[in-house]
Amino acid sequence: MALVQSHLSPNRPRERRAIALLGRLSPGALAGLVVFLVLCVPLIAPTWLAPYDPTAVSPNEIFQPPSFHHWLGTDQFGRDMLSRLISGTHVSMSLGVVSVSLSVLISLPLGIASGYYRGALDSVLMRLMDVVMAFPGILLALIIISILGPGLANAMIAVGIGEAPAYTRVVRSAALGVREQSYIEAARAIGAHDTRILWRYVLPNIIQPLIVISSVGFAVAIVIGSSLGFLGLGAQPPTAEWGTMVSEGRTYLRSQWWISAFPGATIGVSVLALNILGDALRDVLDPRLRRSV
Amino acid sequence: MRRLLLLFVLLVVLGLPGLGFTAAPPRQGGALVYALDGSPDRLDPNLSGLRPAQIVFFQIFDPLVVRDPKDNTIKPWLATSWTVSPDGKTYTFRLRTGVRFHDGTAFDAAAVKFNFDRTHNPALGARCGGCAVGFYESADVVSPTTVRIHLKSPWAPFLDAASLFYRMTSPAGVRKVGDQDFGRYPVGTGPFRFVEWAPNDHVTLDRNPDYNWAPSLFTHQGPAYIDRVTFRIIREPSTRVGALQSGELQVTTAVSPQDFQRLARDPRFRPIVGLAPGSPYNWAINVTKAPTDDLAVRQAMEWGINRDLIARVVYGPFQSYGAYRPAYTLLSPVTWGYDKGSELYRYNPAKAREVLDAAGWKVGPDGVRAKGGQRLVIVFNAWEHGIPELVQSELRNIGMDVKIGIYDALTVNEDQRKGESHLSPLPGARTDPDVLSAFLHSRNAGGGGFNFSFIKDPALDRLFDEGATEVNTAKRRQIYAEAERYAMEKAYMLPITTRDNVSLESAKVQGLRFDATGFFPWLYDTWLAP
Repeated sequence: MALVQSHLSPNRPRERRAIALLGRLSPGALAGLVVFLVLCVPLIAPTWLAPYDPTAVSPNEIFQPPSFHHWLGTDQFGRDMLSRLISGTHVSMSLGVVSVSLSVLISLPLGIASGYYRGALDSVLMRLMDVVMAFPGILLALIIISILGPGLANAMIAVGIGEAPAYTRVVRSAALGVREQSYIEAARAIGAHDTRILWRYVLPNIIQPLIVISSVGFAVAIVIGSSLGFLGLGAQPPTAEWGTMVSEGRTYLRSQWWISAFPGATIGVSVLALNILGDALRDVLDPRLRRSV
Repeated sequence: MRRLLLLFVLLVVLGLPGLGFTAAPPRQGGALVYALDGSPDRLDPNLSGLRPAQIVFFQIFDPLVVRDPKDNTIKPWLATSWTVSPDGKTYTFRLRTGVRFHDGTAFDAAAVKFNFDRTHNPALGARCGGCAVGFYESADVVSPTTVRIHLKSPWAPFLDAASLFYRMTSPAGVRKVGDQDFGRYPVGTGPFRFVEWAPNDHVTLDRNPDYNWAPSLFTHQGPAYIDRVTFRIIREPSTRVGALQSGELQVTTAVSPQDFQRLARDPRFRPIVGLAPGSPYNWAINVTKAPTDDLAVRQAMEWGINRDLIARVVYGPFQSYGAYRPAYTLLSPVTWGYDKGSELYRYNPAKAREVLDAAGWKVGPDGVRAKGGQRLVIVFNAWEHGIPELVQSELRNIGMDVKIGIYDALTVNEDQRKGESHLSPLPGARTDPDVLSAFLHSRNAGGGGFNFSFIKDPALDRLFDEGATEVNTAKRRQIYAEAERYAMEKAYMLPITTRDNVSLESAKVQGLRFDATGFFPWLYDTWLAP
């Protein structure tokens, strides 16, 4: 984890900072981190750990409960649940990464324009953000999907746009905070262009709060993405996706409960881990934030 | 001696009930709750064709004739007899006397004329799927008990349509509330009268005490046994089954295979299966869009899917009741007019690959075939999981890249109408083979029609037109056999499995049966054991 500091603390090596950071994490946060790292494995290598092909239909093995051959059982088409969950992890994590990146990309220019330049632009942008934030996240995603059409790519866009206002506000308030510092005034006095100020001073101080909101935002993205999948508006068959798997298993809840239960539990555990991680990150980063001037 | 005789007579009289009269006598009274899987749009048989509405108004409104499911013949109901003119264009019905609507007005020939005119009034936009649209000309009142229906040209399915879709509404009832609102205040001649309708929740009917004109195919005459019927609208299948288990309702339709398997063995419940004639679960293959415009691709699809396996995996528990069997042609085996000779394709993936190779579709590096730079990509949408995923996996084996989307029925319909998908799911339960023209006649391509193969084949059109007008049943049968064979040779549609009605009823329910289409319940003979 490379932390960007202001120019006032130049001498601490990065590695020592990182280890010191890890030491400050509570057991819960460590567990969250471990879960997150486990989830990252399918993100990079989608089917590396999967024992079977997630889309392979196996008619003679339908509805098998968890067993030695299929650790998490099979679904209504005989597909291995564990493999599908791993494949679905890739889908959900990708959705998280892409939508968070999209939100960050949207929020950076808007937030900085708002917070640093202020004026009428700030008012207009903030009212716009208010309007968008008035919609519940899932509703906003549904509206965007109804315009763009269902599918994984569109779900990523929908979630990215839907969460952007929250990020924009964070960027804006960070920019506002930095803007008032005396060293900014000093830099301007010696003739630094706005671009240089933004790049050298404002941006580094926005990154920390962005990291915090990104980690929680990641969890939100996964929940909204799974909700869209549950409604059938995300990735289409045969792609495995947590939300879709929960939805498909609804008909069989009484007898073949594992088809819905395991994906549901995965969503819960992942979101919990990310939330704890986000909280821990905020706790760890905040003192640093206070310390940078 | 006299005492012995008395004893003998007494024994005979008391013993008679045991002599083969195994069932208890029907009990009057009780309230039946029936689950519907969707909401009716309007309780108006002249204007509505939606199945949930039809289920309800089959109890409120009677037709002129009825098809007896036992021998598939047309029997009298509100009409006592009928004649057909030699040219097949005029039907004369003699009507039953003493029939009254629920509002007390008399049922007569004027009412019949009113109903036919209303159904075919273009201003009202009736969505009556099986009615003689385009064929009906006019109706004449010859006398209060005789009515004459004139068709523009002979139409063989007319009596079939009269047994299902032409149900008699009360003209006074329509005039009282107006055409659009009559669906909310239905008045008919049926064994049950309308009481109330809470939208999206339930519809309640009660017994018509004056009912006395049931057809002979029912087991009793006079009013119905049950006091009250409530149709509850429950869209989620597991909720319906849960309500059945808890005793909140006594009959539920559209049961999932797994729930069915679990409850069919439970002594508190009984499965009822209605095998549906007509078109099975068929997919129309869009012949106007590449690559399905290529006959080789279509035939390869027919050879390439293992219908037996699909039926077993998705509908396994139903198979032992004869329902949801694999379908190999355009009509289900219980349909009049079904032709076994048109089942041209069995599962043969090697043949599928052969056909595709011969047509120039070569397998590419990713396993998907291509011809002239075009990959073999099939797009289709459906509203239910299950069969689409399996078909996708089977077609992948023969080198087709299949992209599916599972959306709600309205969205799927939109895409079907625009011709954007290659395959369109199309079940159609009907007792007359003329249902095929709804899917394959050129006049139904585009617009509001259901020809999603977008076929405009004059040879096929000619066969359907002949079949619709031929009154000799043997000749008719031959014409439809030819049509089925022709359409299968050209692989215009992809049959998968039959689509039947699998329902569950509480063991207390007696005498519930389905009509000749297998989907509409007759609650008239139904009674509830204590």
